[in-house]
Amino acid sequence: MTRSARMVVFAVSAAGLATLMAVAFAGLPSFGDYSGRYGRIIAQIAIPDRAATNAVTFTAFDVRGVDTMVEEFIVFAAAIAAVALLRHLRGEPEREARPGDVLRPLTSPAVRVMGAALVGPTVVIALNLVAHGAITPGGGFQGGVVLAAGAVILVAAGGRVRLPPDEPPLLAEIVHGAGAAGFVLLGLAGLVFAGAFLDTTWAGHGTPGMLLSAGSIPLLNVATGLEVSGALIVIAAEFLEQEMLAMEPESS
Amino acid sequence: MTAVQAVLLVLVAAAGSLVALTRDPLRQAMLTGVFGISLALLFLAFQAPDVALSQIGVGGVALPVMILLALAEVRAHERKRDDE
Amino acid sequence: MTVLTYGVAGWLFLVGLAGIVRSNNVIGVVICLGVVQSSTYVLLLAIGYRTGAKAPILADIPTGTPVVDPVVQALTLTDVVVEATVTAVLLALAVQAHKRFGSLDPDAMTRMRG
Repeated sequence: MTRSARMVVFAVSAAGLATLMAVAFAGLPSFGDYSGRYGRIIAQIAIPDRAATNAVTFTAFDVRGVDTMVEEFIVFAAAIAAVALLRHLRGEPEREARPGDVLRPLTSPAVRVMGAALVGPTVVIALNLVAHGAITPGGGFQGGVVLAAGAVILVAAGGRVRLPPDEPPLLAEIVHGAGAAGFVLLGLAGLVFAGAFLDTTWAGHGTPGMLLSAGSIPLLNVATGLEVSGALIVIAAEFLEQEMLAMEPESS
Repeated sequence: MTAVQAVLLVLVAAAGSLVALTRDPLRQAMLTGVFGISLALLFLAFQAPDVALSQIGVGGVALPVMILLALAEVRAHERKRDDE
Repeated sequence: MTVLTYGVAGWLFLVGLAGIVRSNNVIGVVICLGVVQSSTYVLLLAIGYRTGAKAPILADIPTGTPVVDPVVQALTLTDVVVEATVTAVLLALAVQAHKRFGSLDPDAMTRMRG
């Protein structure tokens, strides 16, 4: 089908889809008129039941914990899929770099200075977000993404990169796997100590607003942060093939 | 609904349209960063700080970086193929 | 203002689809898919919003103040991170497709070769 024919078909079907969407949206409650009971109940029981002041993290890791676990496994599987897809195709010539090559990206001094200045605060902010997930806005997902961003800044700022061919960096893989396994183990601990999988009450109650409160939700946040940051770093490392980094191999 | 939310909604719609209607993937990558940050501001205006934090990290850093890496790898393959 | 909010969500969906149909570059298709996904986030958060309510962080506010729905926010925030990793898988597919077919044009990737 030629491109213009495709555009015409799309225009017609988009008009139909827009009409259907308008009809469907007309049945939704008007903006600002939320009247569901589930949200209100959660907002009322978050502090008395679990001493968690961040209702969103409480929902994600306690009330709907299995949902979050499955989404974390999607992240895990996606990282593995990206690594598997970027393998050599059959018939492609072998990469002729020596294993253990150390390559450094050729960036301008301005980028390197900014990067060096920003890496420290970024990592600290990421760890802060992960640790305070149950208390203030933050959590494992947010902190994990910021931590991976810190690793990207590190590489962009001229950090030395040792990329073994055909394998993601070992530390990133360990962190990635430890995060995913940690989540399941914490869920099993809930099963063993408190009677339900992913129950978070076994680790004590604590005072709302202190760092060590809300049962095992902070621990779940740490596991999630490790897993998400590990997955993103594994994916980024797999994309950084050796012929892409500037050709400045040095023997280490 | 406040004026801030209305302005941000219009900004998000405009940024999304720009991303979808640009041809060059490199420019689209940069516009994705802008679109991501405007989405994060909209989420803040909707009283959703957690979602805004995720969106800043993903739409501002992770997504443009991955797109740029994919584009660079494609260009490296093209250069290697032209050399042979 | 209901029309504006839901209208922007619907507009993002349709304009993202138009970008996918119109694009001549597979990586552009992946980027426009991200735009379509963002429309769902806007819709979810719009449904959970209560006028005059505060963010669902219960630290300093007295019990009983109306807060925005936390459930849709929990759904959306995990969804944002999952979108990033799935986009990475699609980009890896696009890179490998370029290796096999020699071009990034979707119209050139038509024949399946064994």
